Amino acid sequence: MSAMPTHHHLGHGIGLRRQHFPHLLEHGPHEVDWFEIISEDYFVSGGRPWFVLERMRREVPIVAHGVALGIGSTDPLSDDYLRSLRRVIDRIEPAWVSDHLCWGSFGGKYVHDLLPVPLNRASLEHVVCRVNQVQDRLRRAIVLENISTYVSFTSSTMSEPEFLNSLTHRTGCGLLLDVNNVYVCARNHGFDPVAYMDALEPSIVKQIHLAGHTSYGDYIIDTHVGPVPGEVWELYRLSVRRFGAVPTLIEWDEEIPKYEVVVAESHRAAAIERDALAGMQSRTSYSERPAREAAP
Amino acid sequence: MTRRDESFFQIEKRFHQLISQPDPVETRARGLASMDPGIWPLSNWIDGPDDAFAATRLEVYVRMHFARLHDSLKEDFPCLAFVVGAEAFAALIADYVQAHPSTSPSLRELGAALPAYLRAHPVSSSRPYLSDLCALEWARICVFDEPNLPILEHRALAELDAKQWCTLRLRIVPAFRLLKTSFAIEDLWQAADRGSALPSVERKGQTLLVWRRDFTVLHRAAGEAEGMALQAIQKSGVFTDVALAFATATGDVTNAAQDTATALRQWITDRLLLDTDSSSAGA
Repeated sequence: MSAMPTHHHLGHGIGLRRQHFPHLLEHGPHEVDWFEIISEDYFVSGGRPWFVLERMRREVPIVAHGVALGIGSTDPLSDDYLRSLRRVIDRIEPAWVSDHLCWGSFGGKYVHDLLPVPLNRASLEHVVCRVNQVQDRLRRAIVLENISTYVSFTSSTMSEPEFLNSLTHRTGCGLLLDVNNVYVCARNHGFDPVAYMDALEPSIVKQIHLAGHTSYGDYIIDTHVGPVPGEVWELYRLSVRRFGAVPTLIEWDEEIPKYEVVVAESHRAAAIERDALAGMQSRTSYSERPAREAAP
Repeated sequence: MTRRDESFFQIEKRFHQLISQPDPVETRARGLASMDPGIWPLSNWIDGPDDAFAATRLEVYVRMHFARLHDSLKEDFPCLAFVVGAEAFAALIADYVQAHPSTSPSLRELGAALPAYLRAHPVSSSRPYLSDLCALEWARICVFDEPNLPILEHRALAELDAKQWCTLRLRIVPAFRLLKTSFAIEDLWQAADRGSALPSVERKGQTLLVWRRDFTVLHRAAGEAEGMALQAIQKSGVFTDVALAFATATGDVTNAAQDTATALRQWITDRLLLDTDSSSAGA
């Protein structure tokens, strides 16, 4: 088991996306604290994406965020995948490495989506075993993100916070809390998103994601399009109160606007964090204090 | 594997079977029930008020799956998409991803088999050149993210004496592909890239060089002699073999050395050759 290192608060970042490469090459990574890359985009050897990434890495921290590790898959862990990820890690020394609590392939056939894992003792054992294997191979603790889901399983016997608390305790991995995904799942499955966050042990949250979603009436989909909606900002404010200052990233992956627009969202996150933390200091009631401080 | 692990495996198998085909989820689940009785009704294993709810939610994954693969391939093959049109391209991609499910964790590899697949697809029946167009776009993708290595400069050759020329070994940069087509598709690619009226396509083989200069992907048509000479570099890299390739292609032994020198200057200008130090290191 690898112990999850305590991360410095990197501040507020955005995804490094090719639509912004010309701007970044001309102006540098201004007004942003850090970038998150999609790890698999850098499994290739060279070209412009690597040139830009290495240039940015000289100026700001980078976090490697994968989408295809498949920690919940029943397919064997891919040696090729882990070797490729290891090469990315060695080359850019990311602040940390993350992926998702999900699966995405069956019988070696990839669907390139983040698919839900049944939440029960058997799947927990399975995922614990694989997280330990991955952490041994990468020689570092990883961080896993809660995904947006549109179905749940009759075989699930645990809540997701219960599953995540146990997984992180048993493996030393951390949680990337996607606040938008909590909101999406809460709407799709009819639970209280605040109760979800209250059920998470504060010390396991190592990073936060914020993003937009799209409503389809009876359900909503995590589309990463548009600015962060008001209801997600409100949940973020509550998450800061509960988890304290945690490195936070804006995900905007569809209809990507100008660099300045995405960066402005990260500044808004920073302002909300400051406001939420200041609000806590001026109040003294137990319920308003961050659980991290309140915990024994 | 324990009994409960088997159930976990079964859930992933069912889920994958239902979302990796474009058929309506309910139809597909009923069809699979003869082999896997537990798959239908869906409410056996998907939480929710009824089967209609479960099917609706699983359809979300089906739509996202096919949309994601379609969008990725449209981005990789924009000229092919332009030439065949939106509707035919969507149908082609739906067929392709079922015939060639992705076997790589990266979407980058998804289109690798599309040029070969197109040869036998109905969309090519009246346009047999589509496979060549697709192969050109795939070659451009391949060179896009090859490693950046030091290239050969004109001055490095100027410093060689006669003996060194005889032992000179040339190497082509990794970001290079030599493509042989059955149709002259270069003009078609240009028109599709501009979004302008499409020309007719002649059934005439072309040799196309695809490479990257700095971070810009380029391609151009090459003559038969140049193509053979570049193949000689790929095979042995020995300067005299390259000259022999020119002599064989042109039937002109007398001018083979001059032809080779002229081509060499062009290849260096195009940044097609590796620095000789890199060549040695890579040998």
